[in-house]
Parts: sequence; C-alpha cells; structure tokens
Amino acid sequence: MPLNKRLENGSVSGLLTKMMRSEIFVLLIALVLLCVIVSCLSPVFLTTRNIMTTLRQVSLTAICGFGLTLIILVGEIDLSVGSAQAVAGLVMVLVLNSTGSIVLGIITALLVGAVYGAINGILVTAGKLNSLIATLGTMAIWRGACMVTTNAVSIQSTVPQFQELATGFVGPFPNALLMAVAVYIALYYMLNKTTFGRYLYAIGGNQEAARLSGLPVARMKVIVYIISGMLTMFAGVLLSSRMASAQPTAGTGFEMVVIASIILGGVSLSGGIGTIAGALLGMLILGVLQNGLTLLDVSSFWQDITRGLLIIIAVFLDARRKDSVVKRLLREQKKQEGSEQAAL
Amino acid sequence: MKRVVGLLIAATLIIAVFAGCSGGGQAAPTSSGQAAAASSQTAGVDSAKSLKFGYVVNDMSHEWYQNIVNGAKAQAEKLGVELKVSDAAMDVGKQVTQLENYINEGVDVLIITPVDVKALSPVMDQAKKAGIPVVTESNVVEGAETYVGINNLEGGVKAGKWFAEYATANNIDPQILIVGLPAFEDCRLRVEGFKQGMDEAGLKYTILQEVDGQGSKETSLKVSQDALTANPDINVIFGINDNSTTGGMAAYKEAGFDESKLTAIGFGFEGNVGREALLSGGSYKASVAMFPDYMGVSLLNAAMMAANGEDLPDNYESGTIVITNDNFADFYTKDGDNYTTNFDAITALLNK
Repeated sequence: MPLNKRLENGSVSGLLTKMMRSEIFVLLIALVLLCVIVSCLSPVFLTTRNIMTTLRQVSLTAICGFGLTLIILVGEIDLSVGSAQAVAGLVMVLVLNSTGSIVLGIITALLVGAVYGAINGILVTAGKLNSLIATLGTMAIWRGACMVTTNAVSIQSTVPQFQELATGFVGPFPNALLMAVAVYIALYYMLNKTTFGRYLYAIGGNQEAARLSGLPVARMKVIVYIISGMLTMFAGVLLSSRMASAQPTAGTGFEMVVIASIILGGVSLSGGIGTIAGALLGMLILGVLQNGLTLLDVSSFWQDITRGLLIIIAVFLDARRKDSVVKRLLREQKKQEGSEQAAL
Repeated sequence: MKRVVGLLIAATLIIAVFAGCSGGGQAAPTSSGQAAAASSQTAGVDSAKSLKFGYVVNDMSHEWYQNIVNGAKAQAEKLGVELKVSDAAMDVGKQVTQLENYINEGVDVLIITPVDVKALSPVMDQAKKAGIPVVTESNVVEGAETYVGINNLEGGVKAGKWFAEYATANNIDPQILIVGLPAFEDCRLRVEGFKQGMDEAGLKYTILQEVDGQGSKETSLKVSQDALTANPDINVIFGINDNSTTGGMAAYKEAGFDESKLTAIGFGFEGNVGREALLSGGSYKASVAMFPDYMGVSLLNAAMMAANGEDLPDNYESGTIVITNDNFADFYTKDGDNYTTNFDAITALLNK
C-alpha cells in the first residue's frame, strides 16, 4: 500500500498526530518553564521591550527556519542558509545603493533566492548528490563569492529608510514579527490544507514509495528548495536592514543554530515527521535561552557549552523518535500482513 | 545511511558551534577600509648596492595585510631598499617554500607574517645558517630578531585615559558596556588596558556588563541588545574593534534610547566603518587607531635596524593613537574617495 494512502489510513495517521500533539505539548511546557525560570532570575525579562526584541530576533531566524523546515520534512538539508543570507544582504544593499529603491532591492534578492534554491534543488535531485555534501559545497561557494565581491569589507546602505524595514514597528509589534507570522500562516496552510503539503510528508516518509505511487518527487523537492531559498534571502534582507549594511560575514554559523532549533522542535532529520509549529517552538526555546543567558550575564563560553549540549539533546531525541516510529510502523505492517494472509 | 547522515550532521553541528566563534574571531583585529590591489611580487627602487628584503605575507586577500604591505612598500621606497613581497594565501607549505626561495636568493632580511608559527622552525634554522635576520609581524617566533606589533594593552590604556578626561569635561557618569572578544588575548588586553587607563586617571566608573560580540557587527548587535535590556542605564560603549562598537551603537539606536547621551569608543580604526562613524559626528567619539599601513612602515624600520646589525627589543612597537574628530585631519588626508595616512605626523607624535 503506498504511503500516502497509508497516511490517510486512520490508525497510522491517528498515531502520528497523537504523537506530534504530545510532543508539541512537551515543547510548550519546556518553553513556559524556561520563561518562568528566566523571569524569576531577571526582572527585565518580562518587560514589553525585552519580549518584543526577543520576538524580533526569533522572527529573523524563523522566516528562514520555516523554509528550512520544509526541506528537512522532505528528507533533505540545506547548510548554505547562513552564507545565502550574506548574499541576500549584499544583493539588497548593492541594488539599493545604485537605484535607491527598497522594493527593487527586495525583488532582486528574492529572485536571486529562487535561483539559489533551484541550484541546490537541482544538485540534490537531478545531480543525485547527498544534500548534506552538496549544500556544504554551496555554503562555501556563496561565502567565498561574498568575500571576493566585497574584499571582506562591509558595505553601508546609503538609504536611511532601509533600516526601518526590520527595526520598525506597527503599533507595539515589530515589523519582522508580523512578517514571520504571515509566513507561518501561509506555510501552515500549505502543509496542512493542500495536497502539495501532504505529499511533502509522503516524500519525507518514504521517498521510494512516494515515487512509485506517482508523485513527482524530484520536481517537488526543487520547488521546496526554491521556497526555502526565497525565504532565506528575505531573512537575509531583514538582517542587513537591521545592520544598515551588507556584512560579508553575516549569517556565519547561522545554519547550525537554526537546524538545531528545528530538530529540537521535533522535526526529524530523516524527514516525514514534524510540524512547523514544533519548529517554531524549537526556535523560541533557543531564542529565549540565548536572550536569558545574556540578560543574566552568563559568560559567552558557558553559552557555547549550553548550546552544544542542547544540540546533542536534540539529536538524541531525534534518534529515539525515529526508532520508535519505525518500530511502530513495522508492528502495524506485521499485523496487516498477518490479517492479509489470514484472508487468503 | 540515514543514521550515518544524522551522525554526520550532529558532528558538524557541534564543530560548527565552536568554529563559528573562532570564525568571528578572525575578523577581530580588522574591520574594513579602502581596498587595494596588491601584486604578489613587486620590486622597489633599483640601486646598485641597495639592500633587499623579502616579505612573505600570510593572507593578501585580507585588507588589513594589504594595508600593511602598502605601508611597507612606501617605506621601502623612502629608505631606498628593494622589497619583495609574496602571498602565502594561508598555505603553510607555500609560505615555507617562499621563505626558502628568499633565503636562496640571498635577501638581507626576511619579514614574515606567519600562517602558522609552529611550522616555521625548520626554515628559521635555514635562515640562521644563511645568516639572515628575521623580523616577524604580530607573532612571536623563536629565533627572530624581533616582532613588530601593536601594544594592545597600551592602546587600551590610551583609550581609557582619553575617556577619563572626556567624561570629566562632559560630566558623564560612566555606566559602561564592553563589547569584547574574550577568546583572543589581544582583545582581552585592549579591554584590560581601557580599565587600567580609567583607573590611572582616577575616573569613577561602573562596568555594567561585558558581552562577547565575536568581533562581528551582527553578533555585537544581538548581544548588546540583550545587555541594554538588562541594563538600560548604559551610556558608554567600548568595543574591541570598530564592528563591535558600531554593532553596540546599532543596538542602542534600535532600543530607542537617546543617542545624544551615548559615548562610543572603538579600537582599530583601519577602515571606513570607524571613519564614517567618527566623521558623522554621532555617538562615536574616539577610536584607538592601529594604522596598519604604519605597521608596514614599522616593519621596514625594524628590518632596516636588523640589516644594520642594531639591537632590537623583543617587541618593536608600532604606534597607536587615539583619534577623535578634533585630531582626525592631522593624521589623514582626504584623497578623492580614499584617505591617505600621514606617516610623518604619526612618527612625530609617537617620538614625542
């Protein structure tokens, strides 16, 4: 029985949703606990200003991270998101400084993002490269390209309004937060209410089965890479807006933080399992942790250790999760085969 | 297979967390400035019995070193010596080969910015056998005559003393945020010097928080933002390079504080980041200028002394000067879009 059919099968999908629900519940409790602890230790944590700045910080991670979540859901990875953000800033500021138009800058950056996503996608599908290795390569190439074009020198934006894009507010809400919310809603709808979204889970769950049941696996993967590429570039544009300049070193190490928070959010590295809500919670937990540790004046060396530990815990949980799902599916299959044989 | 990939990712993640920090660190001593295309091999003045120096640079793609080389070339011309320059492009093997070539060629002095100090001992032995003195830049290498470098502690002290005077004159009650890079000794010394300078001048101050900006504007902005939330009284930012300081300033602006109440002090001042911040007349009041091109001049002067067999101190210091809006014009001349450094003014001030 093809996997997408099996997903519709009551028992399996019921099992999956139950598990996801409980996982999100656990994450939510972890986040609330973390917030309670930090707010007990630091009186400023719960101030409106701190909440909004933390949310703005997480929003930048999230806009890129949501796209990456799609890639991980189809069982691939993209390590080049950090370097791509530097490219985004560079494209944005170069176009902005030469034309003076913020809109034109954003459009160009998004187009470059689509191309960057398509390149990654084609390397992974048509080129049949392991996405870990392929994007490790493109990561170095993009970073190198930034260094070559800028000579490792940052470029200041000459249009002062550009800074407003990421640092401005609508009412009490930071612009970046509203943009992240919009992206979240769009992707949530896509993943849960469209066949495209459900097929993505099918591909991630069992690529071979999805292909045999007639899904255009390669084309869908390329589309996912393009969506993620554009979101990554958009996040990069916002980052450069915050700094009012294009930094060739922008986003260095960003890929690891965002991948870690996505895994922490219950999205399985082997694909097919996880939700965008979980990914968001993972990013919030890491964001609050980082904010809290700095508020509490914890030495940056200890912050590194904490983050490293969290990554190990996240990957450990991922491995456990995979095991249990595989075991349950096998059990289901055996039961089914048993009943089929009995029917014969 | 998937499990292997998972393991690989886990390993990469952990490595990258730490690599990410050191990656930021590499940018620490410099920030930016005018770019210069430097050819890898250049001959200086042609004179019959002139001295010949060979300089192997670690990484010519880095602007900081391009500026050092430019300064060194200018000084070589002035002193009438031939200066040959090679770029090791961060390749240890290449650097050793280039050094051996210079030794075989019979240069009078070898100048090295090491790619990796540990890899140099065999070639140092060869230089010694050939009787060629070695001068290094910013790194201590066993067997070298001297190393030419910035005294980071002293630079920090100068900044601290300048600020003490400024704070007293402007009635500032200093509540300080330090945007540092504690993983690097050079950067720790800058901070230590800054505190020492304020102490020596008898200034009363409070350091509210010290954060790790990893030398990049991006990280400095993020961590300063949290520090400013925890300590909204901050009115002074000291950064270990221009990116750290301007990152802190951006966080201050983003938080919606009154920028006229902020005093920001930088360190480095080798490129347009610091220059624009200073000349715009905002919160950026001063920076400890390291003059990379003057470092090139100092390298050549030290090499000249080595060639003449003069005694050199273990550390031949290249100068630092606190640059403010008032004295900027004394040290830099605008030349189109670029600025040229007035070496004579620096020499005069340092020898005073």
